[in-house]
Amino acid sequence: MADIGVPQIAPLNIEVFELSAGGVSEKRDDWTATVQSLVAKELARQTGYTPAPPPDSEAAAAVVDEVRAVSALMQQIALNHLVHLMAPGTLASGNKPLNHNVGRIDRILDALQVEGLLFVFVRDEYSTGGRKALMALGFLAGAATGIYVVPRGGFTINTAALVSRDGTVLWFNYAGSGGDMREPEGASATVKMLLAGLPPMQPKAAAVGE
Amino acid sequence: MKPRSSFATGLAIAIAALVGCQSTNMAPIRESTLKLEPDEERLWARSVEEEGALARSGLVADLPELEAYLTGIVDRLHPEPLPGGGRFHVRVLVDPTLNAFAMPNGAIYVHTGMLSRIENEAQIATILAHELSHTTHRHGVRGMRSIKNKTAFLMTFTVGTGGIGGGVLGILGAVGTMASVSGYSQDLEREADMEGFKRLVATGYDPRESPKVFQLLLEEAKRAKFKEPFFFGSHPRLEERIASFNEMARKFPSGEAAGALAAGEYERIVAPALPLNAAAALHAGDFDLALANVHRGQARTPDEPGLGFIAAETYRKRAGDGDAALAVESYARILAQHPGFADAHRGLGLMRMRAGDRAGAADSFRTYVKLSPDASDRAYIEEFIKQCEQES
Repeated sequence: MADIGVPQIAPLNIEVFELSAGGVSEKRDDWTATVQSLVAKELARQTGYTPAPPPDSEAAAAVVDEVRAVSALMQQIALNHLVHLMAPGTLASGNKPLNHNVGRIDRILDALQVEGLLFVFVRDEYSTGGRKALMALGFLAGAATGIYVVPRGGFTINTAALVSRDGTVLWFNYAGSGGDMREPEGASATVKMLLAGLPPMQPKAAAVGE
Repeated sequence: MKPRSSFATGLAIAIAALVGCQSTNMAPIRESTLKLEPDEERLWARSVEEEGALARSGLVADLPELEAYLTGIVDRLHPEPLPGGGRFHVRVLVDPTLNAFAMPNGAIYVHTGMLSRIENEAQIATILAHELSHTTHRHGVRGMRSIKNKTAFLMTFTVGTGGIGGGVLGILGAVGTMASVSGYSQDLEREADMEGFKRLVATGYDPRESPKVFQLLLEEAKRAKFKEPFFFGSHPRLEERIASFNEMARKFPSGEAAGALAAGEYERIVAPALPLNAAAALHAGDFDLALANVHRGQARTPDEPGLGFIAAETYRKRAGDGDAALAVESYARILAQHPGFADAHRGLGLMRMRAGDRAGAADSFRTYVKLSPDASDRAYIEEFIKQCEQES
């Protein structure tokens, strides 16, 4: 299966949110930038793949629209996989194994001079102090009244997918939280969980039998 | 139950103090040196992202003269730069619905549907003055804080009261909060009306044109019999606002309509938006609006083939009494002046096929395919040609 040479890490689709006391989720740009930086570093270190070129580089700029389109598709595919994992049989495909293809990505790979892309999709959320206090109140009030109403804490979605030149999703994985991703240790642990089972890549020449 | 209830309520009050509320009482933006609050900065960052998404969506019209004209009106209404040195900028969205909106960072979007119903510059200035007031009075962040504060209170109450009728109280609380959120939003809209009106008058526009905008919108909403998803189309609010604007207009002397273009010049500037809106209205199935836009455009440029084509397509798709003849006549008129107009041959072919004129239809379709060999529907039309040849 892993015959696509050494892939590149696609531009990361990461957003980090703050969950207010009342449950309103708001994107935090500072946290998003921190997590993006830590995850990018860990992905490169743990896979050995080349990182995505800077967005303003000539190679990235040449295919920015195509990469954005495939990334949007990958986000939907990631969510489909999660539905399939969490609520089997609810998708139109029923219980059949998911088999996705995003269409050929030759133009992207030629521009970037690689043979595959690793897409990472992360949505992470952290509760404010007020939200945590409310959660504690839920437990205390429950102890007093006998019925527990505890607001949810922050959620986390972490997925990774490897896509080949012909657009086939060769490998997909989902991971829960390995800790606070705004900290190096949490990011490292989460990326390790996320990459569990990633097939080792062969050099492209060997893959095509040259 | 009572001691438990008191305990929970006491805890809820204590936690309500802990979760904290953010102030929604914020001074308007009066100078570019104003420092945005952190949550406001984030909203501005979201606005930039949304602008990018809209730019990529294909919905932003490529009408630089119209955009510059609308931005010029806003510059006269609000000459001062925004925080960070940015300025208001107006974009036109191809959408037949009655709407305009402003983002917190000063990006204002006006739908072609709005422009196509407006009659002159003072009226569009009314809309723009209202929209820019949402930005200057920081309604984005104030609205968001209001929702966060109210949901925090509701959540505290629900959690704190727990099982003591918590379900019922929770539902009542939710309804109350929603009404309150909706009411608060209405307050912000009123503030935008008032502030926009003051600015409009200060700039020299005729205040008597303002109520006419809402009257036009009310009539349009009634005509289309739709529940507009947008604020501008809401009947009770429109009626209330017409009365409110009439009251305000009486308090101010007539302006000189400073810098205002004559209605005829407004027609010239807005003309390129009319075929775009007519096509969008046709696509949305609003045949009357499509034809109204066509007729408005044709009053200036009667022989413009794009407008004639939309009229023909509207008659063909509406397919009411007499529409077949109107469609054929419209296609024929375009082709008499522009024989290379491929889509008109296609439309005429479809009309001929519908009328049973197989030979004529095949002829039109063949011309269409010849003129437009890369058409996306070529295979589909070639199938029609085969059918027509077999049956004729």
